[in-house]
Amino acid sequence: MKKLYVAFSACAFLILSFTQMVRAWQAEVEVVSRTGKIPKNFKTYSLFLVCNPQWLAPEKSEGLYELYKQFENFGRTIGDDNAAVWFWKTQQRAHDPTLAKNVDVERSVRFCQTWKLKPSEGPHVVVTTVYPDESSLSSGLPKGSAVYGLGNMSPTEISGLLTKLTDELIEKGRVESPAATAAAPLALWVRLLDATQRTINSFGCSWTFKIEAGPVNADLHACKAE
Amino acid sequence: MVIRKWHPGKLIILWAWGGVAVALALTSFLSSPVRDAPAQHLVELVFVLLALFALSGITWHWLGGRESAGE
Repeated sequence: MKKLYVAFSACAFLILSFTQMVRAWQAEVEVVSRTGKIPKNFKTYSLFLVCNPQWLAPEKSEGLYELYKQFENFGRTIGDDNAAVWFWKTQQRAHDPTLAKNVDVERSVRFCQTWKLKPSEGPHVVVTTVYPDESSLSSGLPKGSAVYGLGNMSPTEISGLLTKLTDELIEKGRVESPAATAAAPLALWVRLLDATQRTINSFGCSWTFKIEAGPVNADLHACKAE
Repeated sequence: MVIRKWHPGKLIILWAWGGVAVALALTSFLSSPVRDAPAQHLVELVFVLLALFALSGITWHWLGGRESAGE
């Protein structure tokens, strides 16, 4: 009977340890190997896609690793319900001069091609609530996906963007598409206020003030001539 | 005969300070796009309008009055 208790305790301990390991693994970036599949059952999927050839040069390895570390921190802070996915060919090593070769570009390129992402604007971060099924990529970029091109951003700007995405994922559980946000109609009172501002501005440019007092002449224009 | 009299010194002081406050608020209202911070712009415009109404009210009520010509 005592042996049974010991065996039961050992099983319970193993199960508990395993679930904790899985939770810890889920909390960080999902490093997807060449043949590995993107894990399922997450509320959102943030994919890091490297399609820009400039980022694959050996001298970019250091920058790429910094980018990976930033993305890893992002993956650790977005919670267990959200997955951050980075495609490597094999397990990466820090400060490896051949690190760029280790990025699974071919896989990223498949996403970039079918989702019509411009490589020169990359690398891209795509946040979607729909599972990015690689077997049915041809159906296009899922609706409501948010796409961010990091190509022209400084490390500080990228860090700021990832912080903003973390805020949105934690607060709302999703990320608003930048295009959708830009196209969102403004409230009536905001449009009225905008019109008021434009009217005052145009009125402000239509007058000039002249003083002619003998030897002193002043000519005041409201707006600078184009 | 009753005529309206004004207090020029007080008028100048009141409208000088009021004008500066209104000009600052109006400059702030006009200097950035409304959609960047709509609520802030609304507060600035309302302040400009209320300040002008308040200055006019104070001027009419307390800085002028009907007095007979003999006084």
